[in-house]
Amino acid sequence: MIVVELVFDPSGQDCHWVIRPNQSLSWQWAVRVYAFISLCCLGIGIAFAMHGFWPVLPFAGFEVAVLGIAFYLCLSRSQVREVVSVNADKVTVEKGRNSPEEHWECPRAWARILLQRSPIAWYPSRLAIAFQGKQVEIGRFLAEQERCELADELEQTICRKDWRLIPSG
Amino acid sequence: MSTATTHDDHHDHGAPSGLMRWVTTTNHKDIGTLYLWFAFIMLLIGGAMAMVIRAELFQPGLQVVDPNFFNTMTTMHGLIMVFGAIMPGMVGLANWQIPLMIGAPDMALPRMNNWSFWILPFAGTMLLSTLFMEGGGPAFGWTFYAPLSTTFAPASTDFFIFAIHMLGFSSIMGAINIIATVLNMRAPGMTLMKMPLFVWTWFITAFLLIAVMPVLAGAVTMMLTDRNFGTSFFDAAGGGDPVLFQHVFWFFGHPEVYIMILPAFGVVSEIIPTFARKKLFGYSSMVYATASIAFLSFIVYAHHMFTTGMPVAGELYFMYATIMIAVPTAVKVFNWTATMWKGSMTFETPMLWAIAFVFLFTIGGFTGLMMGIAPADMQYHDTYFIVAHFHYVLVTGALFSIIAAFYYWAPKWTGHMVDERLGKIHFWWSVISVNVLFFPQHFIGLAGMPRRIPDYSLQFADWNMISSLGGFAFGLAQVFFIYVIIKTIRGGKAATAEVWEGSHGLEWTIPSPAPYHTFETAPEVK
Repeated sequence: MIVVELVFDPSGQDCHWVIRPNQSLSWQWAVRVYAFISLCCLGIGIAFAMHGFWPVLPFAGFEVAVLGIAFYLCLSRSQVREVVSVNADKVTVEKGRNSPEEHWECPRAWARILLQRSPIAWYPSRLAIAFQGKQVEIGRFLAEQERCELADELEQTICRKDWRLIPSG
Repeated sequence: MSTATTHDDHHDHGAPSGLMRWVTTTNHKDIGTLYLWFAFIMLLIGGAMAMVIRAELFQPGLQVVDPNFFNTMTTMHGLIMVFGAIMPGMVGLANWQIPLMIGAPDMALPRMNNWSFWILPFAGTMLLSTLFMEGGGPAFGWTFYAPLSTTFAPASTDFFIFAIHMLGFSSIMGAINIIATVLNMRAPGMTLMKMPLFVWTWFITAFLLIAVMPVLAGAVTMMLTDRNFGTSFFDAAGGGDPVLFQHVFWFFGHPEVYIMILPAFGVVSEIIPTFARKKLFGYSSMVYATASIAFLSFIVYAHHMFTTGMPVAGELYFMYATIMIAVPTAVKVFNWTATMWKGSMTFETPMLWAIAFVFLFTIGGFTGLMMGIAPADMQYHDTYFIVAHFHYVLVTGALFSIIAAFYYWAPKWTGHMVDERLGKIHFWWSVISVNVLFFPQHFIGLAGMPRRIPDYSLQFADWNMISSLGGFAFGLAQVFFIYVIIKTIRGGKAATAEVWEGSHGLEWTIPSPAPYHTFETAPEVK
């Protein structure tokens, strides 16, 4: 489940799609929850170690480490942003977490939208913007219906002949 | 900034099918189904062991199996039911329902979810394989007290230890996944205090699992080193203390009981409002009661050890703390009752199971209170009274809730309504036989019959025979349940999206059967 946000440039010449996964936990709360669980687990491990049962502690430590990795992975994935910008001349795709880490662009006139459906119904489709035999995939974390809707919107926008028709604001 | 990764236009998106679909799946519904089938198979295997136990106890004397094999059966029955049937059954329900109930497309860590399940069949097989090893399988009881499990245990115990480690890892990964999913993947608007009770109870259960599983892992590791590497954690001859094993074990073991029963509370809290056609009475108090029970479960564990000779002050503390658990548990029972009060009740099969749960689990709770009284426990300890108590909690409590959950959510899973007539036959057959099976065990326990023995005094013969007859009938009822499950999967009246007239919650907004990918547009929770 994701949020796809369409933002128009004030000039009415550019539009941007900001695609991000749903996230119901902030980093701040994740750290608090993680600290609480770690405190409980390691506290129990240390208490047993103090009574001579030290083998409990490495398992508690290992578990806390796995939990930390799991939290980090989930939240990192939730921070992913993909920005697709389209103007009269070109299509730009930027991907990253806190700042753009990957950049790709192609002339608008030559860009194609590819929505490749899996032969098996229960596997998700893949959406890509293609140019001269190369393509960049977007919205991999999107749910199926939203990916299809995004594909339609991109198709309509990129293939538009009269660019000035796009509403502003 | 780098250039975005690009790839050529033409490539294949072939996906696995057939058997490989189930091996490689990361879909929460597939994995939930796998968990539930695994749990059911283990229930039947553990149930077959129970039949051996009841056959031997049908009459006094030794007639079916030798005493060591009898002890192996009681041990394996307990381990398989706890780690193989009830826990995976609850995790299966969590896998199926939690994403649907919070509006998430899947679990937060789908690959880890696949791994947590696929560890289980190997761990279960390893545990079962000990039965065929030289010296027989573990015969020291599911509590594997030292030195029975260290100095005097068969060689197969090392395989048992490894199996427990694997089962523990699986549980930990499942718990981490549930915590990450519940915290990070709730639909917009679904605040914590709007989550369905089933999600809440599993969320708290996952915390319990994370807190106690390292203790279990540490305990079995210490057993392993005591057995094979010359340490003396639990060996008095080397300066250790076997009673301390019990402290370590029950620090895990008591919360483990709540790990099995808290999700059951969640299931019943979903079913009763649906068929009473009322909102759950006291939602907030249910959440706080669940959290209180979870907290208290850590500080009462030594009530399992009243007879080990602990100081009177310790006995008093653990006695009062134990009895305190009755308060939040009573809050739950009263809230369920209040939910039903003046409701427009109907008695479809899931509701029958849920009502039986409330009634029979409460009996198990009351007998628990009796044993929480330290001086009385001196009489009850290690008798059939405790066997009756924990079977009322785990069979008519945890297992009944899993069966109730099947009848309640199966239309959503399969797209077919369960045959009400068959469901009711299964219910009445089970509920009568389970009471014939376990209620007499209170009497023989109070009269002094010890647990884990294949032979007994003649005075216990009549009730044991009745109990065994109940056991065979209850076992047959679960064989009948296979027929009900398969019939429901294969066909039946088409289920609507809502399924039940009084149902509410996100899972009932999607079609039945639930599509492979759900919540393709984000649901808004108001």
